[in-house]
Amino acid sequence: MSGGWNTIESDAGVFTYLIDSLGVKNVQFEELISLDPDSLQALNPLGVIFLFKYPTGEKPTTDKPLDGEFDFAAVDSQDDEERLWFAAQTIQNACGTQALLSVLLNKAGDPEDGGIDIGPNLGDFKEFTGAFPADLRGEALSNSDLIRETHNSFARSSPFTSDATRYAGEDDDVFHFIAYTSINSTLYELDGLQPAPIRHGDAGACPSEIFADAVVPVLQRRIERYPAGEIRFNLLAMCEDLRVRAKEVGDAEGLEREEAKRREWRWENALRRHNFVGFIGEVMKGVTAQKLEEGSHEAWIEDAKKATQKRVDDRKKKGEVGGDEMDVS
Amino acid sequence: MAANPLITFKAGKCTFSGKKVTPVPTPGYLYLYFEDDMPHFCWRPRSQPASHPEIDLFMVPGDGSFEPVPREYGAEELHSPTNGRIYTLKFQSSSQKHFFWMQSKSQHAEGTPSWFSQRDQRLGQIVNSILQGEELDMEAEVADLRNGGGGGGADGDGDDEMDVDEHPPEHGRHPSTGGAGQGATGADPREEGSASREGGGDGARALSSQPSSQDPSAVVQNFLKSLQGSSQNTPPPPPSGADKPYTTLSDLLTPSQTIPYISTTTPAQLDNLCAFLPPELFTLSQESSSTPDHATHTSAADASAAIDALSTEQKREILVRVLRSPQLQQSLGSLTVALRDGGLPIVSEALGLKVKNGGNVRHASVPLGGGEAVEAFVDGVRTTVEEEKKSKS
Repeated sequence: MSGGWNTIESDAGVFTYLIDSLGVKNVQFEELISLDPDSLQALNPLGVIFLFKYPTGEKPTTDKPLDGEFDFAAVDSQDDEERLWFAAQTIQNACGTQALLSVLLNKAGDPEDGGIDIGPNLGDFKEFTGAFPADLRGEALSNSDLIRETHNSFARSSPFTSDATRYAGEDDDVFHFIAYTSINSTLYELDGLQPAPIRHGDAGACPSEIFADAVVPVLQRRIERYPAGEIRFNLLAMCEDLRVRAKEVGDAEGLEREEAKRREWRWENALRRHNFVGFIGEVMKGVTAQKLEEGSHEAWIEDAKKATQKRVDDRKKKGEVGGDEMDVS
Repeated sequence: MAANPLITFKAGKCTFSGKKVTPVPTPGYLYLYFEDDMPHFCWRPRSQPASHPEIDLFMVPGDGSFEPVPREYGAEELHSPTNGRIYTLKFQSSSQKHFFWMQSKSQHAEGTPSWFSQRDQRLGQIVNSILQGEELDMEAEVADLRNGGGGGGADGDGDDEMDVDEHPPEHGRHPSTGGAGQGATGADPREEGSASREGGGDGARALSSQPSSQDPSAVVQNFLKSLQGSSQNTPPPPPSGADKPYTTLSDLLTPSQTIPYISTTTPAQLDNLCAFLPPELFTLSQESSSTPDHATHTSAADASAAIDALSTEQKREILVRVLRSPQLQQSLGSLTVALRDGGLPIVSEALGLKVKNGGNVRHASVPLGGGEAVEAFVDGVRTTVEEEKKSKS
């Protein structure tokens, strides 16, 4: 039985440093604000991660996907070079990391030839699971201590809520991650909840160079499946380390921008990992001391109580809270 | 008011005349709560809320006792003379008596309804101890019930999860004298109860045996993790009712409160606050483009060097940024949850705060919960700050 997997945020900074910690070289993630082929193309993407709130209405199909074709042969191929690495999803909280790996392990190769250096750890993992069927690969992933521990090290410092109290902004919907990438010049959708990779378009019709153009209409069709406003989604492109590219073309401004972004990401990750209990204690004491000096301690508490009560009342009005439930977020 | 029952379990009442005890089929709950330091022994039909007990007996500690009615004394297995499990409530001060029957499903392997399981007996002993005025570690007791009880558990909040025994026991004769129920089972159950207090995996109990030199944040973090994993197993302390949300740490420590505070801090206070933040924040502030980006571990020396190298203004900026960050907001929320879910004793100990009753409900080892716990936390911070100020002046 594997250990527990915590939830991690689907954020370009989190994912970039996660794969970096696993030993992958020179790959990063960028958030896509719009579904525009040109801006996607500018990144020279290796793949795209599409994440969305998992709708309860749509069940994974078994005989035919809603768009594209199941390609069982690609997973079963006897040819090591040709065979696609695809894993069945076994653990909900691992699905982000799983989606990332499904692109990385299929793009592994010599960087000179356009492949990714996935590092020794993932290289071993890929070899170890090479001959496994999809469900066993999924098991191997959820049982991998290295992958799980690295994943968990990026987990939120506050992964739980109780039923009675939720804090503002907490989202307890389930997110699902799907990866799109070009493998063997074919456009594939890799979804761990489906029985096989899904091929979009003809085999061989999507070399890596035209991946950005080919994937955008597929993504658009996907998004259009859901009623407008009912789906919240996020798109992350996986691409080469943009600082390396900026250096190569001598783009000093671009390099500085990317470095600043990296510092930002490292700042956020440092906060994510941090246990704030001691800090909160000190701030609480400091503010309390200040309020006592000013003689405004009681007023401070009363204002806070009013704010809490207002929120509880607002939620009751919206019908979000049951009669006995005390929701003070 | 029966706002915080210490223990609740499924039981029915009985009528009796002479030696004949007749169970009443109404499904009900037997529960105990404290008011003004005095235990109340209550029974209500399950359809009624806890605030409306049909029986609410004000007990003088030591006066009441609650014991199973055995078929024979000194037998190895405890069976009822009836075909159900009957308990009696008796008083030293009067000849008043009440009888109750256990409504949870028999745990006997063959379903024998008259068999008092370990769990049944433990429940009775817990009730008896409360009536005798003994202080119990309720959390430990209830956790033991859950662990040893084979699936169900009584918790202070309400439901005994074991199935209802549909058929009330047929009335039978009961022996005319009571007592000796405990002797019948062999091992002193009270010893069992206290031994299990040291063991067990739940963070709340484990804390008491940890040295106080442990990193307080780590101790609290472990507790928070244990809440995540075991929220179904560890009974939370009873919520203080739907009418008292009090407030949250997020509502108290909003940026509009904390940021002005930062602008009033002395350099020494600033340095103190910075020491509670991850060191990378300070090394990052110094970084230039050429610094390698893989450094995830900053040594303590690098960290303090980085903090020293920054000006007071820069430190204030970093603190303000942190106080506005979503990560801190999330932590404020989760620490509030921890306090509401019984973490007050651990948090206050970890932070060195003087909290009333160590964060527990008066007269029990049950932590405060809900809005009351947050209130006790806020009061504890105030007390601590006031005392620190006095000792400095």
